[in-house]
Amino acid sequence: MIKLNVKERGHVISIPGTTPFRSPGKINIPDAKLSLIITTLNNVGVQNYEIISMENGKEKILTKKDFEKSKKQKKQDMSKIEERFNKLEGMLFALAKSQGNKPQPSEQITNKLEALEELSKKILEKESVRKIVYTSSKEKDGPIVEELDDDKYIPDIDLSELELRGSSSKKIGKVEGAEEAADMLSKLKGRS
Amino acid sequence: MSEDKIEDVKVEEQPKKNKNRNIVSVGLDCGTMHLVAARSDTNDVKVTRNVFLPVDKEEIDITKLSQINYVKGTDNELYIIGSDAFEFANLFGQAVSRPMEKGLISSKEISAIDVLTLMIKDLIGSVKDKEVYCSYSVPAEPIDEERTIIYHEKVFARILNNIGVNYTSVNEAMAIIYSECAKEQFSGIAISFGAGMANCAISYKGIEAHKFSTARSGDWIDKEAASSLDMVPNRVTNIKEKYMKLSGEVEVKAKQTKRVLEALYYYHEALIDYTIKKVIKEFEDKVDMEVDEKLPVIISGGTSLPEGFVKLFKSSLEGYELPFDVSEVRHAKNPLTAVANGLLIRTMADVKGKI
Repeated sequence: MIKLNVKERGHVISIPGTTPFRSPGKINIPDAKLSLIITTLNNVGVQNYEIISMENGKEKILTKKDFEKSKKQKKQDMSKIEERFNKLEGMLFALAKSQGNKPQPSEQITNKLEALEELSKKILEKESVRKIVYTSSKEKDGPIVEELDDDKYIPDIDLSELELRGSSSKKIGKVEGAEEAADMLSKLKGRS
Repeated sequence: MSEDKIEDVKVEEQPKKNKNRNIVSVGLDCGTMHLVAARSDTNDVKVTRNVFLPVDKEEIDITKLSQINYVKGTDNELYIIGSDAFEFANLFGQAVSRPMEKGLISSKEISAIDVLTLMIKDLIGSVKDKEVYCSYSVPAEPIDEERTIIYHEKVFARILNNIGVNYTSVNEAMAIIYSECAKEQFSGIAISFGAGMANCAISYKGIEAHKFSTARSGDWIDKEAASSLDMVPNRVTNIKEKYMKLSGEVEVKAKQTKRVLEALYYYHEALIDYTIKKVIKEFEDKVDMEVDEKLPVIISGGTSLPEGFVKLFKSSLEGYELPFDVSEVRHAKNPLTAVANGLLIRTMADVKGKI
């Protein structure tokens, strides 16, 4: 169970699986992924919120800043990997130097370096699959979300070689009362 | 996919109150059996059967298709679309292809997305030189089956994007609220008994309090009745569409047909009972608001068309203690067009708020 406390006024928050509410407000979210909640909040532009979860019987409060931290953490992790590679490279060269002009070990070291290069490429490629995007271009330090590239599963549409002969649709009635109902709905939602 | 996609698109870049803008609102009901579209500039509601029949050009004399609607593809591909597909399917002894199954895009017919796009394009009509906004229907996640609506929602989004309209997805049952509950300020409980699913939404003053769907509806009735009588579901569907009445005397003499109608009655009763129980449980478990007024219950969808369906629903409802007060149980004015009409209302309301 997660509790969400949105402090800013004037947003309609609609998290899948919960009742939509107008902020400020607090709701219980029995079953929702944290990433989904953050995405929803970002979509409507909420900056000031608290996500309260229970961890080992204790209440843990997460705010927007906590998600910024995780981004920095990722950056740090990446720089650590780079640092370790550089260190390893230095060690290997030192070893090569200590071996003098013996051709055999130097060749082995070159091979190892090439293997390391391949490995590092793979690691970097793997990292770039999970693209990190900012939901707001103005807020560069905003929370991070993973962009799920699920569009690739949706088939492409190509009508260039298809041609429709005739029309399969038929008229079955006329729209009635839509204008008045739309006015009423628009007013109710505070849009006009 | 956000339900507020319309709010994300282009509108900000347009000059306000520009009377030269040729804005058209559309409501598109993407049903398992029918695709229905309502359009603001013509006020027309149009329908097409959501089926097609792939045939080989070499097997058919194309000159004989002058009265038939079809899509011509490359090589030898030919797809007869809409109601004509049914007639030709019988002629060729084939089964029609359905782009949708159980209320969602069918995984078996993914190659048909192009044909479906053309059918929707034809249904919506011309969008040239117009700024078109469209709300399309999506079901809610089913509570009794492990299925998600994401793929379905995205496929229709891509289709509408391809056609060149601005789109937003709207829950099917909420569309019924928009269409039928203006006098209650969009408060009510709407149940859409479609072919593939029963969709329910609970709305309070236009705010969606809860929505859900069940995987039991018209197709379930046909399948269960057919299974009980050891028949093929198509035959049962045919009898249901021709003779089914849920009130009054059955007007058929053939014993076998009477037996089918009897079985169909029991399964209609079971479906209604099952849906009411789910509405009560969902309301008790998930609706976290105090409703201090009586709510109307609106029944819609193709499965609710047999005479006596609403009466049967009312009498079943009376047997339960409800967690909400009911003002009345009523049928949608037109159960086949209510969703498209409601979607049009929602689109028009969204557009009004932005322009």
